Amino acid sequence: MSDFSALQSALSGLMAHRRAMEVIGHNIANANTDGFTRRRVDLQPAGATAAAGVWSRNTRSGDGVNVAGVTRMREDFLDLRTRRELGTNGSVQQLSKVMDQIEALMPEPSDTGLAARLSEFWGAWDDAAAQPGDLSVRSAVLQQADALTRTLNNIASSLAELRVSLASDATTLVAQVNADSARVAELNESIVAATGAGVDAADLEDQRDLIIDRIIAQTGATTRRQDDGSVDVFLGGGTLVRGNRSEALAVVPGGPLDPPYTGTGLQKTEVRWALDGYPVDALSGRIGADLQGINSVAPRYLQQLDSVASRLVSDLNTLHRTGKGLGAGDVNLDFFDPAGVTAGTIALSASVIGQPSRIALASGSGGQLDSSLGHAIAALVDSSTGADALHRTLIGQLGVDVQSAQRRADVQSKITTQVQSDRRAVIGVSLDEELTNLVATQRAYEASARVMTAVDQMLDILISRTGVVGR
Amino acid sequence: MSRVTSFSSSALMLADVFDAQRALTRAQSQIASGKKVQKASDGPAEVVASLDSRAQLRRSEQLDRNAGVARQWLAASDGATQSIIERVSAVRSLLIQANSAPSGPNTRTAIADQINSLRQSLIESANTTVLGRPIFSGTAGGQLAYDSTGAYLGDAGTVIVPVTRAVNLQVARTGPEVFGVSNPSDPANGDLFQMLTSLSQAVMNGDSAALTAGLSKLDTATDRVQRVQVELGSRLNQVNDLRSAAAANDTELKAAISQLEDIDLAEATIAFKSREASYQAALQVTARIIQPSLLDFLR
Repeated sequence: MSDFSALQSALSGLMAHRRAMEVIGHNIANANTDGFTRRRVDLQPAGATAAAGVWSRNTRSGDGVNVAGVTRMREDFLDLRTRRELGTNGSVQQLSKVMDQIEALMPEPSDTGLAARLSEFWGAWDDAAAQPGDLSVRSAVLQQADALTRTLNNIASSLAELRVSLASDATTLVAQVNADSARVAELNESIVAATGAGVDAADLEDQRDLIIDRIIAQTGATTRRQDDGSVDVFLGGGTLVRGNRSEALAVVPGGPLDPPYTGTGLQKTEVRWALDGYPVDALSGRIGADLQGINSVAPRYLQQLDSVASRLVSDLNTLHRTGKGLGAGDVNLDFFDPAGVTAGTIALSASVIGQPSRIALASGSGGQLDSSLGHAIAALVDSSTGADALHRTLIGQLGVDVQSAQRRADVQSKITTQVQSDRRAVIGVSLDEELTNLVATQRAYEASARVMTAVDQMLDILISRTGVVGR
Repeated sequence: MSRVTSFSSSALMLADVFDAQRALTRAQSQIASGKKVQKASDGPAEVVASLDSRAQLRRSEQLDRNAGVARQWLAASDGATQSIIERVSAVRSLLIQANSAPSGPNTRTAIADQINSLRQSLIESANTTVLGRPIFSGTAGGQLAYDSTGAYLGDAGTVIVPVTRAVNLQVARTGPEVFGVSNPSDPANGDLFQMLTSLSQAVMNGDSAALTAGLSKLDTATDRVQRVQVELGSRLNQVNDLRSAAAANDTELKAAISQLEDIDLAEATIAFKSREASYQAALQVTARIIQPSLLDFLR
């Protein structure tokens, strides 16, 4: 044991604590960096005998302290949990937004919505029936019918526009996910190389974790950490990232919608693997919600709206054909165009458009100014199976759906905030803690310096003052 | 014990402050709009019920307008039948005058002329119109129910106006129902106008037997017109009764809609105040928690 070993111990203390202060400084500097994982310096005593022999005698006091490593404070369990919630959260938040937009297309109760249009339409029939000979009152029926069909057309085309904007959102997000996957593959490669070379890759890992979180929020993917330090990302049955390779996704138009929405005649949108063209199963996250909006939510309401339109057309035409207009030949006419039985295509028939005198207010057997058919059509408003009742059912259904989507989004947002907060409690920087550590480290540094001074003074006595007796 | 980091606590506090702010905004918008249900998701059951009530109310307002039309028809019929009865009774007095005392040809011609002119004004009454349409012509088109010769131009159709969901009211009678059915082969037993033509002829001729028979037929005709007047008059009362019952129902509907959609201002204001207080409290507490750190106490 050298006389100078105590100096070496003090030096190791100075160096270790300087390293610790550097790490604390890094933590404090990144206190507000998103995705930053705090580091901790692991110290271990140096020079202690690793395994004591039976006959060995150890009188050594140790060689000071070593920096064993810098640990990234991360818990895999919390990562898994947070990521699962992130995927679900991305999905339900987007779905709730889609529902809100659909609800905004059908503002009820109001004086301008479809319900009000329907009421005014039926009322116009009663008013016309009160003065069957008056062309201006008859024209009002055509005007109200026009307003009604336009309202239906508008809602239908807005739903179609919503599907288009969701598809473009999905396309943008898929492009972002592709870029992110490629970046994760690159980072995997860098991290494996750095770890192999013994270089600190913590900052790269933070970056990778942040990007993976983003991929998961968009797609609901899952991850697995490999032994070499890389992270694989799985999506459904496929692999988005494996080691330093990534697979691209693509948004492609599919065929007709699946049942029960095939009848709407709309095309579906799918996300497929770019390489082999297989559809991605179990897609969740925001992209999954976009696809759900395109392929089932919007079509569901369009279908219900279509049934309102087709009920209007069939109810009106069935009655209207039995009646007659003012002119001699104005019999057996359609009121709505029988070809347009969807919300998007409902329109007045060419037989009556611009020709109020041809509207049938008289029953087939009645006189020219008979009004019984007009009143009978106006009474359709009370039909329990009519367009109004169907529309009310639609609005009730929509309200329940929007409400439940909002509740799921609210609950999920609380859960997500909670798990993210749990994770941040582990990975995040607490300034109080860092300052406490800083104080402790600073004191330890000072103490090591003091030890060095003490040893120095001791050696000074030995070197300068010893053997000078009688000098 | 879990660690509390500045990131985790600020994220949670921010989420809570946002929640409080959202609740405050919602309470504020409810008060500003006066509606607690502004869109379907605010209360699906309430919205469906309110849509139903609104549709019923609009239907009821429509039926009210229909009732207005029915009243016009019935009032016009009432006026027309009243003047018809008055003129027929004037004819009756003339007939009695002609039949009671022997009179000269001049007097008889004068009486016959008066009967003829009364007949013309009766035809005018028979052509009474409402909303540009003759009330006694059934459902036929055209501007007249009877032409100047007294021939019926209308048809046998009934004019129906729905005044409630259940009641389709017949608001007019056709010419033949009011004035009798014309009889080309036997004018004396035909409709009122034919009868008057043959009676004025009888006065000219001094045909006492025909006059006596004519008087009783005239009474039958008056009875018929009176029956129509009473019938349509009672319908007018019926319309008023039905609509006042419906008006009571409308008031209930409006109350129901208001209850479903509108806020209770006192309740909403209290809710707003309490949310405002909790929002401010959240802000203050958050500000206090975020501020201090160990830095404030270390030198």
